Amino acid sequence: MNERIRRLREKSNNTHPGISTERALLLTQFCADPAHAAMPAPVLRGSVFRHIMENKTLFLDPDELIVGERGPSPRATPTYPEICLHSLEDLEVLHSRPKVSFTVDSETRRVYDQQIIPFWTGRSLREYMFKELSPEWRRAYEAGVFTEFQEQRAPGHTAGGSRIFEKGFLDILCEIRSQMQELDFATDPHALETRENLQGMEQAALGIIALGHRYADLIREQARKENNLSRRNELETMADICSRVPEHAPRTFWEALQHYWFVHLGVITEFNTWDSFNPGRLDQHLLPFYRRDLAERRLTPERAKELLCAFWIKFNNQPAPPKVGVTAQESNTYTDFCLINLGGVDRDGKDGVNELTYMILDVIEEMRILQPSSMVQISCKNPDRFVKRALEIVATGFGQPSMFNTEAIITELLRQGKTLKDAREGGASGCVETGAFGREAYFLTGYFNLPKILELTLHNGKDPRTGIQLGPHTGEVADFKDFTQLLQAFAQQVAFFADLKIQGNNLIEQIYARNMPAPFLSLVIEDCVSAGRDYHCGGARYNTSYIQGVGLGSVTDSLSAIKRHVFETGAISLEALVAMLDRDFNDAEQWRKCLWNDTPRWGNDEEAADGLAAEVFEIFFSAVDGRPNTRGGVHRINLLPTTSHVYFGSVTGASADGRRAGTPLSEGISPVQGTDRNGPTAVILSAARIDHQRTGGTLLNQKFSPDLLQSPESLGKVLSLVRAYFRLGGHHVQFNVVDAKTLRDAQKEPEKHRDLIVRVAGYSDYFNDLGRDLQDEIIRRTEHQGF
Amino acid sequence: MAPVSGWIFDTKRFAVHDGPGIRTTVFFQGCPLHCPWCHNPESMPFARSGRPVPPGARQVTVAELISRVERDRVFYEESGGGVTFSGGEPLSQPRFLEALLTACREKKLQTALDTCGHASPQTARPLLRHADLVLFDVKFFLSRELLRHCGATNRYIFSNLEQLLTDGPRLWLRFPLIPGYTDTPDNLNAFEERVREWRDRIERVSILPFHPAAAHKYRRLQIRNPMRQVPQVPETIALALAKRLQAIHPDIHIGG
Repeated sequence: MNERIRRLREKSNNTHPGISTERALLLTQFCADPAHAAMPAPVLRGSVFRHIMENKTLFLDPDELIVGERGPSPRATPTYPEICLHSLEDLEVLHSRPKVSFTVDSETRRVYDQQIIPFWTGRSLREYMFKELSPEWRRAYEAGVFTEFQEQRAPGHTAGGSRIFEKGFLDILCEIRSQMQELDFATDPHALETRENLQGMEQAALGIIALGHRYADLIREQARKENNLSRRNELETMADICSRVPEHAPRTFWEALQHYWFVHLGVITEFNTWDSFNPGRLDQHLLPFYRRDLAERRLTPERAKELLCAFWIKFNNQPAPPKVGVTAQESNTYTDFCLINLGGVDRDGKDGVNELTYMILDVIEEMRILQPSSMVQISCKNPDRFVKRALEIVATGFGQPSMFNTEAIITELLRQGKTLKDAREGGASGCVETGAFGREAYFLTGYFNLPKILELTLHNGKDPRTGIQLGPHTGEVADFKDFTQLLQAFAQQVAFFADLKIQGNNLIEQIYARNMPAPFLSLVIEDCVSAGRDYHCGGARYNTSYIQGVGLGSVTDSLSAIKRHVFETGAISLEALVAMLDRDFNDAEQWRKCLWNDTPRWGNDEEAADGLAAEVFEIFFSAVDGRPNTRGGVHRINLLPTTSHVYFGSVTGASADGRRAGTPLSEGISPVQGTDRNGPTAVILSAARIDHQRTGGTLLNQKFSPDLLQSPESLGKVLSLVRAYFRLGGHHVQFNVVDAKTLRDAQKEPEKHRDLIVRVAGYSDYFNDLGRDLQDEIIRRTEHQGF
Repeated sequence: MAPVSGWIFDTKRFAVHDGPGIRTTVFFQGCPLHCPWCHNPESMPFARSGRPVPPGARQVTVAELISRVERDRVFYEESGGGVTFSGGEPLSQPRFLEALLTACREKKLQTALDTCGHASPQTARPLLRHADLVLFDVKFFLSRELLRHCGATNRYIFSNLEQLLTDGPRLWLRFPLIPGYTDTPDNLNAFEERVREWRDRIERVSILPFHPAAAHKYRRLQIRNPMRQVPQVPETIALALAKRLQAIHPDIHIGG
């Protein structure tokens, strides 16, 4: 890393995120203008986008090589009041909360008080949505049975494909205009709707083109004032690049990076999309530019690496938009889940690892910053050298890159009906979510609290915390004659809440489709333009809705405890056990320990527990998979938690496996923290017991003691572990390589461990930025040693 | 015929220090030596009929053990690993060990035998030949010292080793580097000499530096820990020895 990158990195890391009102003001200004009141939604949204792009403050740092910020300066974070309107109290919470805070100055409060809040009150999507959702849905949501991703953030959940690197926005504009010309109002009953969609997209394309030219002008101006000759030359090149992209397709490596960055900014400015956005298979997209530039002597490897480092900084400058309430609890981090994919196979199915893959891995290691997140796709066709290099970086202990199974991803996509080519060009975005990059709108809709549903089952559908009847009456515990009856009742409850969740999803999807089209994102994802349909309305080639199951380990172990101690040994009656849970094991510590220690547990390669996990999986899968959404696609499941396992734990009483009330659940498909006692091979065999290929992603965390990855030889053994997991069909595994002592020291003296980064679940974060309960949860995870 | 069974005190999956690849290590109960630095003091006493079972020891059949070991086959295949028989001393339960080695061969599981070599050559030879890899631990290259510290002479050990050197499976030499015991100049010189002499036959030499990790076991078992005052071997010392040997042998390894 050279000096200038070091400076950019320092600045990025040391700037505390703050709230910027600029976007909210531009939006409000435009929408409040009576002249715009009658605009159809797509045209309004496209025009708002253009208005922002034409008027937002531009930012240029003296060290920069890639330009463009979402806010007026790095880490100045916009709000999206059309989706979620923050109250003054929300702003105060954002400002003063101890973790993941945003500076909110008095001017921001004033603007909110006088302009934003008065205009958007009663107009924000969130208010509308909650008004329309059924009382049953709201009760389950408030009880923490599930969360709702779209209540504060737009769906997003997609990644860029090759289209971005092959087309300029002028090309896309031409496509749009010729589409419009071909519209036939005589025969096409949807012609008006299509025309409005295309008109919105047209405005969005003009907006992003304008942004490029505005940057070109700014940089050219700066170049004129610059005394340092080499920087002046550099600025002139940058100005040329910005007058070229994003209007035209990129021709060089530098143009390609800048072009993508404008697209990224467009997506995350149009909406506060979940999982921000993501360049997809970056090493493959950039390769032709890189090779051509080297051959034509426009670029050196050193310069390419410097540009990549500068590119990395841009991601780190964009914290996840401010979240409050349940959304903050389920995803409590600045990380915005842009996940760079490396390796895997190319569209022809051949080994996709190339020289840029290794260069980008070097960049990841050197930069060591939270954003972007990174992952390696590991195919059986990829060389071990590649996996070893990735593991060397994992061994440095900041949780990146995570590891994915290319063959699993492809099988998952094929099962969902994607073509082989689209599947091969796909990958994982966000935490672990499978998608056909550049071609799929795969909305994550909310976490689904499986242990809570077991708790409700044990109370005949009633929430013991509040006494409210949330689910159907599926039987008093005294009536369960055997374990099968209990499991059937649980399955009924799961099906009921899955129904409720899907009802909500279908309603919310339509609200977005009607009221909040995404014309800019529609430019980027195939086939929105050619179909003249919006991204939010089924315009993408593939349209999937996901429900994310949480607490597989906790629910499996609880069922296993009941099966063993109630129905097999008869040591305790189910009524007595439930009574104990209701008292949070008060006066029953002996029993709690017995349940905790003497229950067959998930993650130990024991059929008694693993078989139950597979049953829970089937129950959840059959309740969700294949249920239609409103965009021409269907619902699917995946299994990941972000930080929702902490939130869900806080609303779930004591569990039959000896877990105390209010404490975190297990995360992803990982075993309950500290209960996997047979080593990592046993964890992997258990994890492989569920059918990953019928999900859109699973998340397995492993914590390894640092000495396990020290020598090349032991690194090779961890490589074999990963290869074996993938051979068994595992989707994803990630490693924390840090010992518990370091983590405990960091809790005691946080100021000495400011740089300590750990893997949470699907992303890495500064240990100091995690809540205490999450810190404790990570410490409790089993640390595997080599024997 | 009753199924063959034997005494073990533990099995460990994901063993990464007992041979190539990912392995499962089976720890036999009972050892003819009594090395003061032993990491597995619970493994020393033999389980004998009519006597109380040593704490932690349990009897298992070959079939049981093999089915347990087979669970991790996919990891052995990916990593070139397999099963390691360690202890205790596996050669001290020859019938059990032989049955296990035969079963592994039938099941195409790669085997390693971690041994101190102290067993009558008549017993040891066929067993040593039967394994795919022998991890041969030599503590003292001078006979008197082994007798003094560990309670046996070097006679069998060297006879078995000589035999292995002439003919037998892959061979790794393991040398515990124990302050105040095996680190005398005479012993280190003799060690170096032997490595030179055997270098073509020995695939790898592992230096195993003393680490007080087993102290808690001595406390728990309430037996005297002769090494309680001895600190961990500094890395520099182990590295210096490794460097000395690297001049002679291409594969010198610190740790298992």
